Amino acid sequence: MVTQPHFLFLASALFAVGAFGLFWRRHNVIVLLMCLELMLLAANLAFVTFAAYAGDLAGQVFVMFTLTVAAAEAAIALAILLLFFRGRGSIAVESLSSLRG
Amino acid sequence: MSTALAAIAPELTLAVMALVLLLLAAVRGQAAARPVLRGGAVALALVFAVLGATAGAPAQSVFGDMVVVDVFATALKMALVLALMAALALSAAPMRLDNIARPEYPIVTLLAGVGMMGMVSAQHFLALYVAMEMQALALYILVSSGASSARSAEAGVKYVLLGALASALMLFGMALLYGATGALDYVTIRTVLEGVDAPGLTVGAGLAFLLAGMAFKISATPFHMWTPDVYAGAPTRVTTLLALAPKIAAAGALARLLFGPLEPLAAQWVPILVVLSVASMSWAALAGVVQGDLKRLMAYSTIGNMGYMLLGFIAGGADGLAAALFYLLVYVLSVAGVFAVILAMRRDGRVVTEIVELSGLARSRPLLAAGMAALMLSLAGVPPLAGFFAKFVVFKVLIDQGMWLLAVYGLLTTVVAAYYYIKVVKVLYFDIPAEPLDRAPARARAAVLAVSVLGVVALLLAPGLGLDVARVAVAPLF
Amino acid sequence: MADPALLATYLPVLILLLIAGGMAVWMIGFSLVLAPHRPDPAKTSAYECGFPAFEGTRGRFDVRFYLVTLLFILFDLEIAFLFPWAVALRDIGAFGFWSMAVFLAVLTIGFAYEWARGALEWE
Repeated sequence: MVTQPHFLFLASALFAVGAFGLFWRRHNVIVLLMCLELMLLAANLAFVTFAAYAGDLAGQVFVMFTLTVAAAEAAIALAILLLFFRGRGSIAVESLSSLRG
Repeated sequence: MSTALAAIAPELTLAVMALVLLLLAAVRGQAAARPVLRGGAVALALVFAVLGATAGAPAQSVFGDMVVVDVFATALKMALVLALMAALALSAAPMRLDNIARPEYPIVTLLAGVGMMGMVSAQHFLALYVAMEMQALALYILVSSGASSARSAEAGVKYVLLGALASALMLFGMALLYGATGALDYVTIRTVLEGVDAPGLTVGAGLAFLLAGMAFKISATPFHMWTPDVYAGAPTRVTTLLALAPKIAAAGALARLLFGPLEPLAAQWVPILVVLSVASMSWAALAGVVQGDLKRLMAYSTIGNMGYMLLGFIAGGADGLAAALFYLLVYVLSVAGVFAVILAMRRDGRVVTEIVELSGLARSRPLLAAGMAALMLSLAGVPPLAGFFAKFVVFKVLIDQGMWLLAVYGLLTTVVAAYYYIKVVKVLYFDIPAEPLDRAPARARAAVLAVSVLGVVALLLAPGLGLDVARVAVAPLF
Repeated sequence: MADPALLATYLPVLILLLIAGGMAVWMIGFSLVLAPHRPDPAKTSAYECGFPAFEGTRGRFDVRFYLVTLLFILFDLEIAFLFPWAVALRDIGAFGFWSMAVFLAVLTIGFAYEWARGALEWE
């Protein structure tokens, strides 16, 4: 039987996969964006799970907003990446190096 | 419904004006740059008037308790509008000189402003998330809007990646808190959490994720790493905006969270804030010393000062939060002037931002140098300037709460950090003069600098006044 | 287990998924099993309207496709709000109707802006 903890475990696992990808698989900025998207979707899964098990719709409505906001975020990120690619000719993470924190 | 719309009249005004200006930009194209900038200024003035007119109104919750309009919200919104005005006014001259005046710039700034105003009024996770994303998305665009450059685009990429990470963390934290309490609105969450004796893993993890996301937004160490790069890479006019407005909005949202729904968890979040604050103060003091670039220096200054502001949150209670708010507003006021000076730094038509470029500025531009020196001394916390009072107030509330150790540590880092502010003053007055900077007429810059310097100095006359205003502003949260 | 009544309302989605999956498996599976397989070079090469392929499929896309994609994502997602709105329209009354009207008006202003600034022109 699939129960609430299963869903939550899946959501946490997806979130962790996204976070690990963000910090360890640093080849290409597009991959980083995918990792971030994975983290957002993991949070969405947690929202939907809690909403379903509590019989409350608010969590599911939240997910609608998250999805649209995430899409807008992705669109802006890709547009900025395009701008970066035009200047630098690469989207490798190593090319993000002219500014050093 | 009409009361709800009336309650959010400032946000509505700003949003509608932004859309009207967008249509104007669509029709007239590049030629609309000047009228749109004027229109933006008019919109902000209008919003300020609306805010002023409704400042005394009783607090009300609208839209199913998603949005609350009280004195705290109105006061922070007025500060936000002034910060946006300063940023917009300062942007005009550099854009004209670089020949990159575009109508989109003021429009996106206004839209960011709508998001920020929403943040300080949000009383529901959904409202907070949407408002926060609205300001963040607009700021991503602004950061990468530098005409020249790969540097600006690189800053944009970094800002987007880390900003999106912050919102993912916050979102996951919100989901966990929603799961633990079954509610998204602050009032219910607080009621539920007050009934819990020992918070479980879900609540603890949710709180940690939420605070990590907020720490990104106010750039507290160890979540500060985007700040120096973004400050240095973004066009200076955008760095100005970044240093002023989003900090006010994020601090407002953080105050509403910590002293609202998360108040019952104070025993859990105070230690987290202590770590964030101590790390920010120490790291900024150490790393700031080696910076040669003024914009980078201001980034570390922001990080450190957010640490001092958090001290007020740690002390807690109405007095602590009032001290934090007072500290923040004094900081923002002085930073506005500093950026007015940085924006004046051009030589032979090129933008320069290194500290050494200011060498001997006191010779060629005595007024500019005097203003900058006053602001730097205030940031260093030299009495009797405003920065000293702000730090004094924060340390005092800490000591009143018996947190001696933290206050002493804050004082120590202040002394270390004072080195780099005073170094700038030394460069201004005692170094061999460099080539003089370009002279360009800029009334807006002079006005912002004058207001900033006068404010920082004049607080001497009525040190208690600012704090009293802050006390009134934070009253609705307690 | 969650509220069974709430989960039951998602039954049509499950049925749709099953039918869609079944159709796909059925069509591809049967053609794999039943259709004759006699591959030759001309058949296995990429189909390009009767021409030999001009270039590899891994080449870079024209940058203009990205712009179109970005704009598409934004306007595509309004559907996420339109569907629930349409389903619930009877219950949310005039306020719900006008909220969506305002939302669409804002979207239309954005569309007018991108059109007027030439983001939709291919050349």
